[in-house]
Amino acid sequence: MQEFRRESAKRVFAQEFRESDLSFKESEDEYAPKYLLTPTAAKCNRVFVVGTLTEKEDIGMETEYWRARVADPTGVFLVYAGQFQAEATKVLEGLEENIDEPSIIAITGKPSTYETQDGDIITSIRPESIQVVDAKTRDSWIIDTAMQTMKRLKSMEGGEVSEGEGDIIAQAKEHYSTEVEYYKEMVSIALKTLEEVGTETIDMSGI
Amino acid sequence: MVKGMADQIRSHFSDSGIDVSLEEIEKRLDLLINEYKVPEDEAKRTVTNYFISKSGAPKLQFQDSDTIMVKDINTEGQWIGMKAKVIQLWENKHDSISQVGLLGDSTGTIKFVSWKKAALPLLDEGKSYEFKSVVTDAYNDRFSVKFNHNTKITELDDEVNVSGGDIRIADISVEGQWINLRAKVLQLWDSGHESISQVGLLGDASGTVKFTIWASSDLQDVIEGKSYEFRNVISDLWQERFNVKLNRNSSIVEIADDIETGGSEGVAMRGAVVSILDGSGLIKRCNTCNRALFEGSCAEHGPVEGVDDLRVKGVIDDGEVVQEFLLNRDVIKNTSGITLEGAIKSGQDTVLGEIRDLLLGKYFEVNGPVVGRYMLINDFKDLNLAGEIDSLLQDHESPAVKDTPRVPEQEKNDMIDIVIDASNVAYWEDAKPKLGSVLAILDKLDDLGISYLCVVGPRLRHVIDDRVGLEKLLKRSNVVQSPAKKDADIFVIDYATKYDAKIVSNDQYNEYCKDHPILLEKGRIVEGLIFDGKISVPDLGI
Repeated sequence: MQEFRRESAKRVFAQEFRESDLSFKESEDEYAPKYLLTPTAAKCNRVFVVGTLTEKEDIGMETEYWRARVADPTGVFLVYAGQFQAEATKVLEGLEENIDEPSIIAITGKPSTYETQDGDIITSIRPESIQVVDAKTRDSWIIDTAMQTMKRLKSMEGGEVSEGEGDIIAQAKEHYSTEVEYYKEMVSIALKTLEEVGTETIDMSGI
Repeated sequence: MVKGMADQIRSHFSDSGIDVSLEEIEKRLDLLINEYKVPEDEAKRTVTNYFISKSGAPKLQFQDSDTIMVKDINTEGQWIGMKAKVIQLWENKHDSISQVGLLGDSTGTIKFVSWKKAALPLLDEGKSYEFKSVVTDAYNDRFSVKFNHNTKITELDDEVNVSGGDIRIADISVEGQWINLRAKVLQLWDSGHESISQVGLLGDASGTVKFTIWASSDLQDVIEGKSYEFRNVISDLWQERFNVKLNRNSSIVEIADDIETGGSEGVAMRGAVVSILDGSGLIKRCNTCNRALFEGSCAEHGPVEGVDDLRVKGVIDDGEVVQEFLLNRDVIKNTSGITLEGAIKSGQDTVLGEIRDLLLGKYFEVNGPVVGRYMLINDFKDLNLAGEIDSLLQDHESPAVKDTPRVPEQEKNDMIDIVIDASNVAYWEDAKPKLGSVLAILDKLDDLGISYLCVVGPRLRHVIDDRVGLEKLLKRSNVVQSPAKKDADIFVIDYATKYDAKIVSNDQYNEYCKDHPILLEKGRIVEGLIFDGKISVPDLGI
């Protein structure tokens, strides 16, 4: 019997997350975990994101169904929470929408994709937990996510990786034709928003 | 091998005033072992007996050895006598063995094996005997005694007073050792299995250790916060950590002293708290056994009124490693000011809200021993990664990027003389992997100006005593971590091959020798040890 192992929560910026549309399971089993593969080859069964709540709306017909937009320096995460995400829904419902003092929230959740009538694939997060946090936590998340994204980019550029990682990278490259420079630029944009650092001093060329 | 055995046999004879030619002994041992494939033990015995009968020495003269205490057994292949009690008979899985179990005297305990061929009378558990002419043996640095057909056993009327070693928790270093501990019950956990009566954590001034009391032991229940003397418990090793088991040969005596508990060999981890699990906040525990109640019922004692307690069960996650953790009442109080009394007053919903506000979604550096699936956090502090930005931007080989084993560019043209298998070296000093052991050899090599590459296996960070220190080490340009899911040994071997470098490790890499013949070359693998805090690698002049 295989031991249940909780999947780690990947750190991915909103831009990259929104540009992801490849989801898969590793086995036919009904309960096999589902993954979203991102352009930099993060294999996500779960993500941890921190961002600013810019909009929330109950779009449910009969029961509550909340859609929220959560922004990081690179883009926006779409978050959908309904009755099966009771805890997260309760938190979302209770948050005050205030353009002058928006909430910074930390979300742990599962990636989810659906296809629109036009054939576009929309990637969103189904939250397991939502928690209001402070700006310091947001900054830590940006740095954490920058480091983990750069690490994936480095592997993509030809660092030695294990067989399993190699397969995942090959899959991501084939599906997305990932341009490493493009995602380095994304990381650079994210880091530039941290005010301690002057905007001119960042040289990403070596990363 | 043969030479060492021959030396031993010869010295036994010379001790008895009999001169036997070393060459003669060697010749016969070699023949038996290498030509006739006789097991070493048996070859030694056969050759010894051959010379006994040849010398005409009466057997007793040679074997009438001194009666010695268990703690004084320190050589293998020694003929000795002992007075000891049969503490336990073990299940015997071998046809060639008549009985196997544990003997003890006032100085310690030792395993014994009675061969079927020796046709000795069967021993009774709990009785004391005098044993003459038993042979000591060693396996993995642990001694045992073997009974043979020259062994004489006499039952004693007076019971031998048995005492295992009194030991501190931090000194538990061998599995299967019978020990006595004086320790405090720090925590009791949900046992979750009917064969287990209680499970939890013991502590003394030197550290903490998981304990399990088997239901079949019929021992009294222990109570959290009280101190006890635990006698004849067995050390056990699981997932690279020691724990102790109490069975029907063990005993528990409550003591009046409050055992001071202190330093615990903790693991450090940095990450975000991504979940607060069910069973957090206000809980009730069984009045009798302290288990957490589920819907008002104890798994062992049924529906009970219960005692209030406060705890947090959560998950911390660094994007790669997921670690479940527990915070107990005291840690919660010390770090958040939330007290049990206050929590009862404000109610579960409010308390859970406070706990979430405090922990969820935030970054922490946490510290504590990992026992079973949980890290028992005794220390956690806010982590602000913003301070890392400078090094992140300046360091082109940033730590996060450098996880895969790439030899840095500037190193590629250089020679690498030594490849260090850090996942082996970490265990040189102790069964618990220590970062200090790795640092010790790297420092020495730096001093000597020897160029090296240090390879860290992906699993080491989960077990090392100083995870934060290891992460720092990985920032060095000549330290690399081999990728997860792949055998670190292969990387060590590949680099050694590529650079024609020596490997520092006490591993012989036996399973790889066939495909990597360089491993068989003399001097390719360099062994060392750390004793008394000092590192020694003779082949490197260290």
